[in-house]
Amino acid sequence: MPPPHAPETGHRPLRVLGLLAGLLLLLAFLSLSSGAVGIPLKALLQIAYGAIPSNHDDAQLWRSVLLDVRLPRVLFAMLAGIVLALAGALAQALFRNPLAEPGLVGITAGGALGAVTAIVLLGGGFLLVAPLAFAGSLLALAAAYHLGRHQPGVAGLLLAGIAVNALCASLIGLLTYLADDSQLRSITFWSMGSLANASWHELSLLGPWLLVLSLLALRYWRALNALLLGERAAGHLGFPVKALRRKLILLMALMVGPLVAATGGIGFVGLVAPHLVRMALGADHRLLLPTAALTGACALVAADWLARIVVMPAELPIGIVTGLVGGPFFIYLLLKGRGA
Amino acid sequence: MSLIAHDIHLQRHGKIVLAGVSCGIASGEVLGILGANGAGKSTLLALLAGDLAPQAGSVALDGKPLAGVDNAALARRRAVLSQQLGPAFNLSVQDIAAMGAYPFPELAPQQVGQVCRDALAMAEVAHLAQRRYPELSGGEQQRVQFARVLVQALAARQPGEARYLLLDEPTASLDPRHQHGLLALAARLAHDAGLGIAVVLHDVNLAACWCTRIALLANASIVASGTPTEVLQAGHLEATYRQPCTIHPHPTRPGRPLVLFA
Repeated sequence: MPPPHAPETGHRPLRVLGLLAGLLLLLAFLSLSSGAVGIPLKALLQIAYGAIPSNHDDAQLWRSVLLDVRLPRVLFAMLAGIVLALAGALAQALFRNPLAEPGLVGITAGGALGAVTAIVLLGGGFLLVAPLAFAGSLLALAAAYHLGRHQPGVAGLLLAGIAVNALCASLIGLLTYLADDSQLRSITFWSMGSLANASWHELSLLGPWLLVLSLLALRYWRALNALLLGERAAGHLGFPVKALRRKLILLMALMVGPLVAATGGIGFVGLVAPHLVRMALGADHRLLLPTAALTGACALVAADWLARIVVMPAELPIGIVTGLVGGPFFIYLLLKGRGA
Repeated sequence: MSLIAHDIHLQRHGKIVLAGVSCGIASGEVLGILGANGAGKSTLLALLAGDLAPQAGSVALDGKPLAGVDNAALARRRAVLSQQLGPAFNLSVQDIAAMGAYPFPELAPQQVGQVCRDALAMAEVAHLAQRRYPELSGGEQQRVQFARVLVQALAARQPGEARYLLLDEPTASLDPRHQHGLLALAARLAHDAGLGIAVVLHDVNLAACWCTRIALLANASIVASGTPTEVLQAGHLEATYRQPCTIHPHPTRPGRPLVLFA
């Protein structure tokens, strides 16, 4: 006897994905049109279609703000949101913990240590900070992985990650202590994250890389589902668990490392986006991964928009916005979940 | 067609867990593995599953050493139901059953759906298909996991291909009806579909009713192995469990013994 509402796998997932894509587009337009220079929606569409409203005095300014500044920034925000959410989802399945994130294995702290080293000891500058941050995140991860691999399962990795995180935090503390006032300011801003450096150049460097890795991450949905049963059961389903763990950690590092290097620390999105989707739609990664990616993209585009407009013409670090908006929202979800 | 462990020696943490144990399952039979707590039943099952490698001795699948078979190929031949499974993530019962088909990517979604429906019906959880796994009771969750391994054992089976099913205390949180239901199904699948099944059990009488053969483990070795009548004798059982018992003919199942522990 078929159950009364048999095909749950029908159109619902596609509807959700379509809805999120629509929301993302809407947020993108909102973000593109507002800021220190306001651009009317009509002019925005005209520029998008290549028809510049030449009869208007501001046309050139609008065109330049839109195409040279805001568009790469909004696209980068989308990409960053996708990457953070996917990496969060990978970490949560790997550690079988809904509160896990890539930072657990040292990627973020290592990146921060690299960045702070560049700022304090080498004089700073984006071209020095970003590569060192990337190198730092990979080094920290490698250290955690090698220290932790002698213990069975992910427990060893987790403990080694905690040790590496603590070590990085103390070294960052030491460097911060040594830093002068302007360096302190740079460190503070780096640690709160920003998309202000986003440009076509940066996008062309990181965009293809991050997109390819994100698409690769989507292909792991079966393995991630199997890991929810535990590593042993995943092995019984035919997954080479040790190799899989290594691949997932490397994938996470290669996604998050360059991103952290480019944007600094943007917290909360990687943790909350997958969690939110799991609460709403369940933990099937075939749906969870793309949905969380779109949710992360929406969250970062919205956060970047808020960061730019609330203290206009200055802007807030985006990490502050994701924390200030995401924190209370998460608390609300937890309280609501407890009531249900 | 068999999955055989031969002369297995295994030490873990300085303690001898298995010493010279030989035991195997052939296509079409249900082997019950019985023994006291800590006798090495789950370890033996883990060896048969390929989770552990013995320090001496060998495990072979259809004559081929298990160590040489890669994970993906092994998953197409044998399914394992472990005792401890991961925390209950928010997956639907349908999603969990479908995982049993992961080793068979060649199957079309409709074929996977069909195998899952059959397995869920066999495990008597078809009515739960749309429910969320964490909402279910412990017994229901266990039956859903059983359905998942049934999918793995039955999906995309080629004619004449032997499949093996290893179950570690599958009846632990089931009520008596479902305990018997699960083992009756196992016996039927062994007979009709030619599955080779090994099942770790605590209930001696459950094993007496449904197993074709029983291996009795105590002190890291096999005390007795053979048909239920051969194995379930007072001497063997007292050596294994250190608990006096008497053996009677089963009142409703001719040819099967009934054990009463005093």
